[in-house]
Amino acid sequence: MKNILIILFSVIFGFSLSAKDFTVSDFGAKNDGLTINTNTIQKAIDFVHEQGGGRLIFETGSYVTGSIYLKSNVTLHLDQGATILGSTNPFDYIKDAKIGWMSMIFAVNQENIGITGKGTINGRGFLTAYNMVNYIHRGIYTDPLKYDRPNETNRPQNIYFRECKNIRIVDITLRDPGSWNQTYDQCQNLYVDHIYVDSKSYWNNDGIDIVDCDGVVIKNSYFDAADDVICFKSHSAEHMCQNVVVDNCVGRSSANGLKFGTVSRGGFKNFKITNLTIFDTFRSAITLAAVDGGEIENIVIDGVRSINTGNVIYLRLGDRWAKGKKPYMKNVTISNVYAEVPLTKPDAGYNYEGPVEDLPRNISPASIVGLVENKIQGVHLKNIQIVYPGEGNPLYAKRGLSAEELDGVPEMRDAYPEFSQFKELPAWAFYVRHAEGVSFENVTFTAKKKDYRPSVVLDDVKDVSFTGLVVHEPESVGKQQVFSHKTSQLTIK
Amino acid sequence: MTKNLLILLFLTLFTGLTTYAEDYKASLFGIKSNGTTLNTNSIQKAIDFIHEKGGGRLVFFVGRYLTGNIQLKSNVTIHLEEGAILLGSTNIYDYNLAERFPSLICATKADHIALTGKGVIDGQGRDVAYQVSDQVQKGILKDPMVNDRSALWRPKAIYFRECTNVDITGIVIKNAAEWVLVCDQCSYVKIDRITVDSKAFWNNDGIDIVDCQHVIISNSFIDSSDDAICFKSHDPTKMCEDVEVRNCVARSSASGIKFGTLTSGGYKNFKIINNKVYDTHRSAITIATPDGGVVENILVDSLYAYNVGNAIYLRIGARWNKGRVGSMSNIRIQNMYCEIAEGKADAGREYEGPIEDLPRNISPASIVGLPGQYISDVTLRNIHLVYPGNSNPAYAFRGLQPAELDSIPEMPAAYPEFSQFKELPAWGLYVRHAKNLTLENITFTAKLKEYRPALVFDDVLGGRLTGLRYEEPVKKKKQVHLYKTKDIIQTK
Repeated sequence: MKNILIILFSVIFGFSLSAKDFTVSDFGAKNDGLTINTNTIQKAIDFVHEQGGGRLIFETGSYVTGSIYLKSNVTLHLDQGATILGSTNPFDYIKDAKIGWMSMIFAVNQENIGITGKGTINGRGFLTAYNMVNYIHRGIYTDPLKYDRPNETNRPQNIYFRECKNIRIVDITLRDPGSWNQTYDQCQNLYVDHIYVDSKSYWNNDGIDIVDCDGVVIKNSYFDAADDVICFKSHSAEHMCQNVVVDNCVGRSSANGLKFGTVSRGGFKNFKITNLTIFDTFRSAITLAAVDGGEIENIVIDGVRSINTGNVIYLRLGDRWAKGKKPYMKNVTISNVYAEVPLTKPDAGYNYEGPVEDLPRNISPASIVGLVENKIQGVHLKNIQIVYPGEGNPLYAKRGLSAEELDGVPEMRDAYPEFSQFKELPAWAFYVRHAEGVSFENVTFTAKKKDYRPSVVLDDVKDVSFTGLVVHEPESVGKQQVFSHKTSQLTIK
Repeated sequence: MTKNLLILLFLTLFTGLTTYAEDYKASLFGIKSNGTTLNTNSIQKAIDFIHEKGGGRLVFFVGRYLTGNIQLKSNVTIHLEEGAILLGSTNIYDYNLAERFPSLICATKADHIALTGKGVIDGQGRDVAYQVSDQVQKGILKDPMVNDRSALWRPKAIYFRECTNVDITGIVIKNAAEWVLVCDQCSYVKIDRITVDSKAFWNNDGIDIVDCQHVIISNSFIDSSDDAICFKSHDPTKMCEDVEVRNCVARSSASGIKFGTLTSGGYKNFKIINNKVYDTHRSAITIATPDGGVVENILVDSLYAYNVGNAIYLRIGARWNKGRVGSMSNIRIQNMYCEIAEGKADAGREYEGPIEDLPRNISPASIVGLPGQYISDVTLRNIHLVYPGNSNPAYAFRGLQPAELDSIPEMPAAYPEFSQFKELPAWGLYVRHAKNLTLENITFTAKLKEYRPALVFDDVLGGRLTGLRYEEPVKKKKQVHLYKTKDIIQTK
């Protein structure tokens, strides 16, 4: 009996050891919002790591830091009211040699790491970026200042984890990075739950970037970003993003809501995205793009509310940096979507608004655009309802339906993939080109006002079906709403 | 034509010169003068930048500049204008703890580096030291805590290693957590008109010159809790050589001018001229070779010392010799005036020197070799030593009997300190294991009566005593006692 007790005790003790809490103030970290604690926090992380791991607790207060490296079995836990403030001095950040970017919190080749708690990580990136601009102008730091801003890699992100395993990012608030906000690159088993992201302090402020990761859950989170919100990338042709669940997230962006790309070398497979809300977003609620040879396959998107977004769905294959690798996109299912597209600029008034085009034109339709020799295969759209403003005015900009005009839509194989890249398109609700096996089931398109264009234009599409298509457009009785060109096996039921 | 050429020549010269000594203001690099922003990375960036541009001065104007460890690079001068204070971070983790000697400002193998101006380098060392203790007590840092103070982590203020053409001029250096200013294996070092205030914590030496060549320390003031102007030799293959100390004033709770303690290689060709030592717990000058180093050719001229615990201490020991045999020869001390304190010379100062466990009488100046290892060719000339006298044999006693003299311990492996033998049998000068000693024109003054003679020689082989005077309020006392001593020539 006594022995059992001893065993029990040692089990409990062992458990408590493995989950030990350490307080960062014990290491001398100051929460005054002034003291730069970089070296102290790093020492604390190293110490907790050497002790076998545990949580490093940040109690209420503001802790300023430059670059730190998280180590295996260490969780940074930010109590409610605790803020990790990024130093505003660019020289307090490391540009990691392997990663090639600056970041506040790095982890490279670590496992069982996390950042948890109801506290905040605030990069103060606007100030850091401007201090960097200042140094560049003075000749102290070298940067071409393309677009009059320091290169993305010369501004700190809040988090950059590379080749890590078993990561938990839970409950925290992530604010104001100098560049992208948080990047998980070639990581496995990433769990993101209940985070709040406010990322519009400077250019290229993405919400969350998942690069070539395997096994990702992102749920119950809110993102407000100047650039893409929930962004999956593939930087390596040998890796891809796969086995990903995104559930119950809300996003706002001056670029795209859910985005695959832009860099898309390896690809994206086995995604299940449910219950997604995107609002006040300049570009598309959903952009799936493979322009650098990547493969997109088995994507299920179910339950989308897209309110006041410039575009709803944009699927695109391109041929930008593929280096001979042939991209493909197949088996994409998008269902239960309600979307409203405005006539005005959806992100007007936000910091770092998306760019306006040089010439005025009419509202873009949702689009599926493959390549001539390489079609997008198997796209299933079910229970879709999209409300457009209509008002397409041919005197303003016009793309007619003659063969010449439809063929005149540029292919733009090597361009940056963006719903707006072709400028005026000949449909007001949906434009499909270079695709095969596309089904529309129970789809309703509404134009609030009359548009000069038909709702749907199909160009070079093989095997396309409409079941239960409903189109509402004022003053349009008898108008042909589905127009096809070079298209075969079209069925409308 | 000629005129144009001249203008061209002038312009070329002028631009050439200005480029070489270009000034960069600290603010250019975003360095903040508020005393709260940690500027480590910005200052480092500035130094690197100036270094890459071929050199120049990084100029700090009035303000408080907080920083952790920074590394000075070739051709870079840190210039502190009056009112500019470079403040050491009070956070131990802001220092280069991976190095053998952590420090606030370091340089390794740099050429033409300088710290100049009328500003201050303040290590805030006491806070750093206390924070280290805190971290050690919490188990976060490992440290043996010898004497209840950190032995491993306390940063020095300045540590230059293997640098050439080092110039430290004008500045105030203070409050390190450990030694303040160290040049280690450097050559061509010029230290001029600096003020060192080094009593923020234990082991606060003033200036440490370790195995350096061609050093001039001049016109400086040093107030330190440990040795003030200190020469060391850490490397048995190196030594301190060609050193001059001139017009300096030193105060210490250890020794004023000290050769040692660690003396692996040795000291050669020193000129220590026209200096003052005051309120100093131990010796005005200590020359010690306890670790097998060679000491040769030392001239001490015009040393004025008052209120010091001891005047002169020359010592050969055998502590960490590792097969080396220490030697000391050709030491000349002349034109010296010294008043030895009656009470504790450094009383009231922070980090006072330690008091001994048992009371005893005032120590004489001492020259102590080892049996068979004689201190040779020492000349003392034109010297006046003023002692309080008043020794009391009931208090502590060392008589002149052979047994009593022989019982003075040799202590070869002990830390060399004038007080190491406790009560000595002379009040003015005690010499043991020396040869070829010259004493010329020396006045020994005891203000009150002494139970001891002024001079005791034990195992002295060869000596010339000329013009020795003894002033003691007693008549007809034998002031010289010779034991196991031969070939002494005494003249008036």
